Amino acid sequence: MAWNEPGKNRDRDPWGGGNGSGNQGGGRGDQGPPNLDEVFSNLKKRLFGAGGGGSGGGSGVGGQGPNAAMVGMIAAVLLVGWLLSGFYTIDDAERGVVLRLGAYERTEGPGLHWRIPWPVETVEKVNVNEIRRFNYRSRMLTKDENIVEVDLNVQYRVGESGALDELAARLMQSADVHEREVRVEDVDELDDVDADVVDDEDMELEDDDFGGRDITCVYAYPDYENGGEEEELGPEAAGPQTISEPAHNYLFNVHRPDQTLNEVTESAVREVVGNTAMGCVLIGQGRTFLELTTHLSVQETLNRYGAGIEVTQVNLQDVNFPEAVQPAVEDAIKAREDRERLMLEAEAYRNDVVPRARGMAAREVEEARAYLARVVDRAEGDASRFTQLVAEYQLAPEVTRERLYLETMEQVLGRTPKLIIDSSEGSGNLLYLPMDQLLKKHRSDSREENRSEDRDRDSSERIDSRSRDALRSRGGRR
Amino acid sequence: MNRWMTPVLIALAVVLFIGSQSVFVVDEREAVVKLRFGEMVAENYEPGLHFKLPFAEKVLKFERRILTLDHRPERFLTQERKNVLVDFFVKWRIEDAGDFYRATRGDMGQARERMLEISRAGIRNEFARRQVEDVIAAERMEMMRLMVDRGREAASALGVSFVDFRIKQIELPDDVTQSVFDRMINERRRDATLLRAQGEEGAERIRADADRQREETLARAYRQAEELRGEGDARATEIYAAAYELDREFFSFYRSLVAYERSIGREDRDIMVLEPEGEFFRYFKHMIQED
Repeated sequence: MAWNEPGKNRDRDPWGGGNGSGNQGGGRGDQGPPNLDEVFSNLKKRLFGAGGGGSGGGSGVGGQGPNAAMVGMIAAVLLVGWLLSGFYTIDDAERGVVLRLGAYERTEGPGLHWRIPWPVETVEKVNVNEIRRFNYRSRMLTKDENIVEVDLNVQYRVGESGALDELAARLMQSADVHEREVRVEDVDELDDVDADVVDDEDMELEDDDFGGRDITCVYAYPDYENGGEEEELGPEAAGPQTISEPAHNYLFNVHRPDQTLNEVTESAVREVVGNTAMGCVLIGQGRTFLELTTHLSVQETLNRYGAGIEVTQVNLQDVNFPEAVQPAVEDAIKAREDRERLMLEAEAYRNDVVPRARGMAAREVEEARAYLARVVDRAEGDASRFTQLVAEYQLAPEVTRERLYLETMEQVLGRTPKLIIDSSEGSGNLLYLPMDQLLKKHRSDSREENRSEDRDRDSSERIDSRSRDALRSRGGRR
Repeated sequence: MNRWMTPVLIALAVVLFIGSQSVFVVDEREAVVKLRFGEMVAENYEPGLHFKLPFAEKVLKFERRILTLDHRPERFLTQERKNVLVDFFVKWRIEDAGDFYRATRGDMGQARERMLEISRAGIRNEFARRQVEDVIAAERMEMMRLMVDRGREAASALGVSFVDFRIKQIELPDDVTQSVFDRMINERRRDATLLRAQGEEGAERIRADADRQREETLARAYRQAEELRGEGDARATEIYAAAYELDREFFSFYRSLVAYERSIGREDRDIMVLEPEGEFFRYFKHMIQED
């Protein structure tokens, strides 16, 4: 009955069936525009009846001549207009998916194309170059039941399944992979206390005192090398169509594909974050890892749906502590600064104290050296003087002795205020001596003298040393 | 002419109308069943143009692409009786329009409800057997896979393909979230306290080190200085002794003279009260007496 029954050869051209006339030939393929002459003659046959009318003439001269000609002209113009409406252009960024009576026919690239006009063939244009974006920001739970705020940006477009292998390879490289677990190690939590700052010369500080913690991020990823989830979930999970043509898949496999991408992304990033410890999510290396894993997971799931979407990039804009925790985090950061500050202050103290102490020590030692030199030299001087004197003295002991004695006494008594009392004969006399007054008088005298002496102390010293020389030379003279 | 045209046009219109009633187009995106007076007579059409009996038969069209079933988040209990909020979605599509129609009379709402039931029961089951931690992390994927298996079995009876089940979100309830925040805050505080204390520690160490260095340096200097002074004294003594040994008696005399010279009369308050006797005054007295 029907020439196009379910399940049968649907490549047969249904064109013409829509006109309701059964007499069309089988010669018209899908390849190009139908023969216009043939269409004309068919139309004429139908309009003027099978037997009547002119046979093949350009101008109808029959009974209804002008009327029929008019109708024919209008019909021809309409037909040409209809056929011309089959032209369409595909933009450089687009692909045109041609449907013939609802069935997928072909996909056209950029350029000018013709299709059998509506209602037979329709074109749906899909932009395959445009990069679309999906931003997702939310709180999520980590493996160790902390909550982090993640801001994620996914870029995608209509396209092939994306380079899963390459992504998987990058993931393997990005971290230490061991039995389907990825380890990312980092030591950036409480580390970097610097034993070396404290550690100058003799100071001993154990590294452990300030040591950080090693974090191991473990994420059990699907077995990508053996097909990943796709393998495990079986092939029947795929979408209804199996043609590997992105624009086609994008249109026909998944209802609302962009919405689907959003949902899958949300699910994937939560899964990845949920599989990772908070410390790992927050560190730099962990981020790359998070991006790669999310990328892989999203792409793989979309492939499974046959969504015709290629995820080009997954960017982790921000991973942070939730707002409620922010102040505490900031305080912790400040605490780190405080720690540095306190230590720097202490170092400033050290820098102040130690060099000063060294200076003082140097002074002490130098002073002692000076003392040593002074004492020794003086001893040598004294000894030398004495030795020389002794030599001379032994030549004339009596005279020298007496001379020395007298000279010394002369000097001593000469500069000292004195009272000479001869008590040996006038015995029993009690003398009253007003010592205070004597002293006072002497002092005020000498103070005035001192003032004038100050001016030429140098000269007086010179005189002093000269007198000593004199003493020596006089002693030497016998 | 009008007389002639009108019946033709009417006939054409009737033919067109009946023609349009006797064909239908199946889109790539549609799954279709054909009903004759409510009885299903054909199913599983390929996309394209198809015929039906006008008026007696009608077609029902369903979405053939993968659909999303996304319900609002619901609460489930875990093994340790923690209440978690789970947001999940199911990807499904109508696999066999005939089976689907037979099972649901073509009611999408009913189909959704059935699948939701299946999922809910599955989640409740799986969650009740697991700890929160496992649900969130380790066994999440395994759980999703289990759910897909379970869903597929149940869905095949509906003529539906259960494509995927994914947990979108597992949230702890608000009060628990708050306590998680509190815990995180306390962890930060702990870290901050540790950091500050480490700062104090480091600072104290550095100060103590500085003080020790100062003391050490000074003490070392003192020792060195005393050694030097002692050496000086010793050498001086040696020198003096060597010199003065030459003539002990003269040394006493000489040194006494030096001592007198240095000690008497140097300061203003000395005043001497003398008797004119002794060596120095030997002649002094005589002269007076002889006068």
